[in-house]
Amino acid sequence: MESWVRLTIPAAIVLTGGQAWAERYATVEEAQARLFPGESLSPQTLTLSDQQAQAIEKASGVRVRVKRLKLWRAQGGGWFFVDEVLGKHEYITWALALDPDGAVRDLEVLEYRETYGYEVREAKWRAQFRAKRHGAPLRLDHDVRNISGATLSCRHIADGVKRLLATHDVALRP
Amino acid sequence: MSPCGPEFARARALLGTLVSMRLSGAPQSTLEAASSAAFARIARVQALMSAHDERSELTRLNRRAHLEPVTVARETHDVLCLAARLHAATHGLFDPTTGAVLARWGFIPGARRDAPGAGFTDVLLDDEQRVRFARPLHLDLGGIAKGYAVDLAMETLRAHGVGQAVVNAGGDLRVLGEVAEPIHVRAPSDDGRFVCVTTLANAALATSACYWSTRRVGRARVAPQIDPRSGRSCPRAWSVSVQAPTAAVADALTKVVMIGGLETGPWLRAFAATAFVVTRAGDVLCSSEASVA
Repeated sequence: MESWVRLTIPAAIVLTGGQAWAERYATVEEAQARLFPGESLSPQTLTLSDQQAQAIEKASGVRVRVKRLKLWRAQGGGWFFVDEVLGKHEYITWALALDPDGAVRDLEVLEYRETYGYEVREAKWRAQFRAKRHGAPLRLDHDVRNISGATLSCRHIADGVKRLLATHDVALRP
Repeated sequence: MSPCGPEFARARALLGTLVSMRLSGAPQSTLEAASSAAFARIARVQALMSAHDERSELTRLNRRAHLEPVTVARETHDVLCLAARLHAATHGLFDPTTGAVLARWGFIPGARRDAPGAGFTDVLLDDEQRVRFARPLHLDLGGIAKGYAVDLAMETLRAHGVGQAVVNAGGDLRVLGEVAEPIHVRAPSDDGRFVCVTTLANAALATSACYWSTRRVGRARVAPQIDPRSGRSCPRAWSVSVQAPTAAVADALTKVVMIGGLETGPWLRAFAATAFVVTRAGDVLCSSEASVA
């Protein structure tokens, strides 16, 4: 064991969870300005029909959880989506920019959130999340920046890209 | 982070994880340009060294280098040279040729078999960026490439005149600047608790832990930490963090400590590194008295 030392408080401070915290990287507006510099973007309303959702799921192999899209059309004809995918215990908000021809221009992660104290089983967790959404906002307890731990996979974002590319094909391509 | 001037943040999905940058200490336009350039360098490392990309240089090495020498990019050569130093210094405990086992267990793609007894000593490098394998090998750079990418990003940010920055690639992070940043390590109990193990200025820290990556193979529970001496998985219930001057060294040494345990102190010191082990019970062990605040 040699010269290893057991650290004690204050060097080993445990920040308790049980509430939510978030790391915010960029706002929607900042991401829009970066991904479509100099272009104005106009918001679109688009809610997928059941048929469209099924076609997207078939084409991408990824489930369509939300039918109401957060979407903007860029002045030059490109598309800007704001979407959410599952991280570890909460959603990751991210943005995808497509060129006018439907090819991926770029993507950015806008916000990463975590909550604990909930069952990770989807239905119960979703209900909690929805309730918090419409009721009191998620309380952000501590500024836990600079987190190091096991590597979080961004597989869900990759799946999200597939799903939104299929969405463009099914619902937006002229 | 106490910013000096505007603070700029950006996060992208790269290297199979979330890569974020928080910058300050320069005008806004400089921070924007610096971060774009830094992300481009990270994307290049991914293109060269991803185990999940059929077209990566790593995939090409694994397919061809036992048949003929393969010329690689400077970045790939740098990583292999560093891996060779670490392999030698840790008496083979750091060995990125465990790819065949990882592939067999489904952690990475590929069904290539390696020759029995093959190891990193079969990876032959010359001065002209050519790589040859003395035997069929399955190289996996997942234990060092993320850290290396962070180092390249940091080099770019510094070259652009950024004064203060934190680059974090899925937990492999590096701090640029004199303002010390507190580092929060996830408790391996994975219950929303974090332990502030240290503060960092102009240094890097990486963490390895199994709580999100174990799988069932037959009746066994395996993790992607492989002991190269036995080919066996060592799914310890620890979280191992290593602080070092560079993220690549920090990244690699977390695996050494995870596999070698508390006997690895001398190797940490040889690389000017300090380890923080967080046990499931919540104890935090530090390899160096000098690091205790």
